Amino acid sequence: MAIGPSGGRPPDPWHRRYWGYYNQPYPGCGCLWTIIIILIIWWIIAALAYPPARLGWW
Amino acid sequence: MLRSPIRRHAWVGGDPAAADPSVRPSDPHLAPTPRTCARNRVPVWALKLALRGALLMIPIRYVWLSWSGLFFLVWIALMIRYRAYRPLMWWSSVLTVPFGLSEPFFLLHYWHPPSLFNLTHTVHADLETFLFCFSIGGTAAVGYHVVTGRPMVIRRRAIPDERFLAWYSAGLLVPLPAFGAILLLTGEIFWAGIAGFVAGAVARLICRPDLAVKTLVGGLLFFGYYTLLLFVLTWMAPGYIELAWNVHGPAAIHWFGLPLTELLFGLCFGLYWSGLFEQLAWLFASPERSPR
Repeated sequence: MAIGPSGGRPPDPWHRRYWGYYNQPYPGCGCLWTIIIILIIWWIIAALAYPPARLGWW
Repeated sequence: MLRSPIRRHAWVGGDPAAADPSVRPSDPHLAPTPRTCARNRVPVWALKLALRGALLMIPIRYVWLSWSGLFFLVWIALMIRYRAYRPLMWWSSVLTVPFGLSEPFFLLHYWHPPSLFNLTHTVHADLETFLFCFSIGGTAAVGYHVVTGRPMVIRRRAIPDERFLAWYSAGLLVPLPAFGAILLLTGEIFWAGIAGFVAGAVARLICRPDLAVKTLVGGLLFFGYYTLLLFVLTWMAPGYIELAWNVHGPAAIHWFGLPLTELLFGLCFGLYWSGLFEQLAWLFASPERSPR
């Protein structure tokens, strides 16, 4: 079983590696961006630890 | 040359490459035009309704903003009408906003909507996504309570529950490995996102069986709401779905003119988001104190 975006076939001309086109080296920006998004979500969730952020609900 | 009406209509108003399915269009905005030869079988009322939608004449650059604005109008209406659920809606919406940052992953490959200030073309991102994410987050969270009339209950953390706190927290983190694994296997961030939503919903059903009804009913309700607004989109901007969604990406299959991927997103997002706030709130609830 071929693993990867193209599944062993030549890459679709529409396919775009995340911040790096399929015919160029992947610069890693997409991976870094995903980590930043997850960190922001983590900070938002962590804000619930502070009682004022709970808006008086519990 | 083939002179059937089907072939002739396929050429009208679209990319000439549409006549030959093996040829792909050179521009993402010139996706193959759907066949329109079935017009004689369409009821008159549907044609009139479609004409009214076409007469709205929303400039193509503002359709994405208008559609997101529609979600936001519903959000505002719910916020005004259901005062008791304002914290729920507010927190669920704020939690959804960062997901708007993932839009660059979807542009071009999954879809490529003309956007405000032409940002999708110039900076490969757009602003409408944030409005969209904010609006659907609050609506998905409150839909179950609005329809069923059942109040939201934030369960207190009992002393026996403390033993399961680590497992409970792990259940909240389950979407991350599911997302990563499917992304590595398929290379499609859309399917990875769907896997994350499904894994999160399943983990909730295991950790919090008391939220099962809300998760399932809330998911189905949001699915219906999202499907309805997709139909509204087809009405307010006919042909927009064929224009914006890339038929060579994950959104290749359409049901009733709507991309199957969007319907799946509506269902899976609804399943996950409908009970997420209670799951998080329980984690931060004050534990009951043992009597001295």
